Amino acid sequence: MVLERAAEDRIVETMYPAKITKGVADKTIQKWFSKGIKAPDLAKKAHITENYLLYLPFWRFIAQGKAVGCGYSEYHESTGNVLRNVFEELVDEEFVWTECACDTGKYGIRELWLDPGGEVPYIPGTVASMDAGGSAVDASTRGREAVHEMIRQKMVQRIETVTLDKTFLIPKVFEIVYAPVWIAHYTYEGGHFTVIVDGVRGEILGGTAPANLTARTRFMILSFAAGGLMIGTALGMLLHTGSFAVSELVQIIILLLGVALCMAAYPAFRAGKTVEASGTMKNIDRLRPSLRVPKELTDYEILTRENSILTCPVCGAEVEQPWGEVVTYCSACGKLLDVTTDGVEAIPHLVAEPNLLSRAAMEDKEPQYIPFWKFEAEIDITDYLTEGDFATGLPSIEGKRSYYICAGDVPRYLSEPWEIDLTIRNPELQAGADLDERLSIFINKKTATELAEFLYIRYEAQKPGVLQVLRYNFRVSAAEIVYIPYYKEESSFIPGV
Amino acid sequence: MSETPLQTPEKPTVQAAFLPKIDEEGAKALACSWIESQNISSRKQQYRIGRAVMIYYPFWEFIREDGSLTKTVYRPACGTLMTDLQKIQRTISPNEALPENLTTLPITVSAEYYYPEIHGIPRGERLAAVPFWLISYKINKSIYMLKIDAETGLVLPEWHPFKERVSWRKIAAVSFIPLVLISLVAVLLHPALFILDAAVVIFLVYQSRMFSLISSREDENGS
Repeated sequence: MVLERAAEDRIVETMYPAKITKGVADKTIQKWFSKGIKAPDLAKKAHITENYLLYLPFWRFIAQGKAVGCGYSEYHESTGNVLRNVFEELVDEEFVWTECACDTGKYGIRELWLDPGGEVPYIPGTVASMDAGGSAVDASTRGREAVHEMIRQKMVQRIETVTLDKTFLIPKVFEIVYAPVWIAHYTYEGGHFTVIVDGVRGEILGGTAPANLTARTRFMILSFAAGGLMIGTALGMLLHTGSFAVSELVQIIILLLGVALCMAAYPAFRAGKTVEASGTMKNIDRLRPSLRVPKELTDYEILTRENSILTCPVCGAEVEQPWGEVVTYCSACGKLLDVTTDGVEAIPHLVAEPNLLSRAAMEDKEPQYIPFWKFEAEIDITDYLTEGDFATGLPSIEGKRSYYICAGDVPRYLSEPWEIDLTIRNPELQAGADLDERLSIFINKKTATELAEFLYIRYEAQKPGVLQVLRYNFRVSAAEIVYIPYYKEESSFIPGV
Repeated sequence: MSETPLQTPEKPTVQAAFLPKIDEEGAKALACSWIESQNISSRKQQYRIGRAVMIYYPFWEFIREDGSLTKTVYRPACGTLMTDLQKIQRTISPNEALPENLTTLPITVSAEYYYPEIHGIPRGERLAAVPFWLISYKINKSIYMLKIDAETGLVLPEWHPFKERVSWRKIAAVSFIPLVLISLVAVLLHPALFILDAAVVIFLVYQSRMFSLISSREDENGS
């Protein structure tokens, strides 16, 4: 996870292997020619001038989205009663955001239509691909904002009035994915058209084609005939001195409707020269040139560009950032470093010794030392409201307390109960000997701080009663990494502190 | 710094370029004459030429000996959505003296990608830059684009409007005017005349194919 690194670093690049051959793409296109309201002789007279395979790059950001949302929806009965349904929504699922990383110009392809799964490594030069442009940092920022919005939309589905709204996300993957498409250019009676076929599933993603001229002519004739009939009838009734079943006002309305029908029909059927297929080509009408000239940095940009070489704040050695980790060790002094785009921060760490009770109980076993972020935090609640019975035997965790967030590669369904347990108990930790081998740390300080705040909100939301309002101040005064011993016992883990 | 994957090949560099022989004004003039020849719009002021940008596309030049013939084949070295670039042809060789500040689109396709489709004994292979003018033009609020080969002057259109074989004004007039008159007369004289309206509509719809061919017949007769 290199979301906080500079754009110069390579992002993981994968691709979907093409499963559709040129022959299958050609057959799909021929079938598409004879479907829908296209020119009836399109299949016979269209001449495909080019049909080639191209890989389009997409940014893809996958994150675990978490949210707590509280609020209510009101229903007004016909008797005047107002029924209020209160809601407390918890969201905890994976979200995927994609965005095209190249300029597709008139084809208007914006998002990836394929789901994760089945990708292979992308080796530059081995396939015909468009160049992925733009800043990876900017793309990851857009991805985060978009996923936050997706989480929020999921959370407020049933809630009309939102009283508490907190969203968090744990980044999982940020990568460039190349998707194959067959691009077919063809001509028909002097016009140039294009069809794009999905190279994985063989479906038409979008395309342009001449519309059925006879059908359009007939629709135009019927529309103008109907409009002419309405106008002629209305004028006749207005000019005639006799009385009719309809009033003068209705006669005028019929006249105006006839005029409106003619005015709407003319541009509608005249302009329908081409047909776009449904799919990802939503902006096909915007025929702007697909042009991207490689940008050269100005002298000012070079001077003000941040230096991407990272150094340890303790010993000054250059920091090696192994792929996949966001917290790493300085190779010179061994200090634990949290690396972000803002710089490098040394993080204190502690290895907790198992307590006497666990050492005695697990005499023959060696514990695994799981890394946790430990935050000294203070929560000060300013406003709190729940609906229903909120009497509970659960302890309150507001005020000053240590918050524990698991930073190792442990599934969340295992680590979340550990986090709650350690945060409630706040055990006394005895510093032990440093470890020869430490588990990798997969969550950086910023994400862990957000997760600590979410831990508190989720804890309050899971209490009896329906949480409606929760306003608080969450302040973190210190952060460190603590390696806490856990003993594996058949299918469960026993904490050693 | 993160480690660079081992498979990343060295970046190839352009070794030759076709020099542009057409300047911006010449390209715009070619664009205007092409648009007018297509008879897309009836009045000159209905289209407007926009910006012209020159860009160098990188192409792989493969020289192959096939029996007694020596063939030179060009294939694009970068992915593109543009038309007519997959199999361009050239009559002269590119110049090895590269223009100043030559910038091409990023090279994303290696030469090996085309080996399965290029036949013959390999005699040479290099990257050559081909200059194109990209010109945008506007017709009736829609923007279109032309590519003009800056070395040969060949116009390569992208998606563009084309003249249809019908006269929509004639169709609208023929459908509208008789119906208005017959309806007016029917209301003023006798409602039985509305049957005539129905007959006219059926006749026009049945003969709509005739209408759609009127222009092509006139063109065929006139040309």
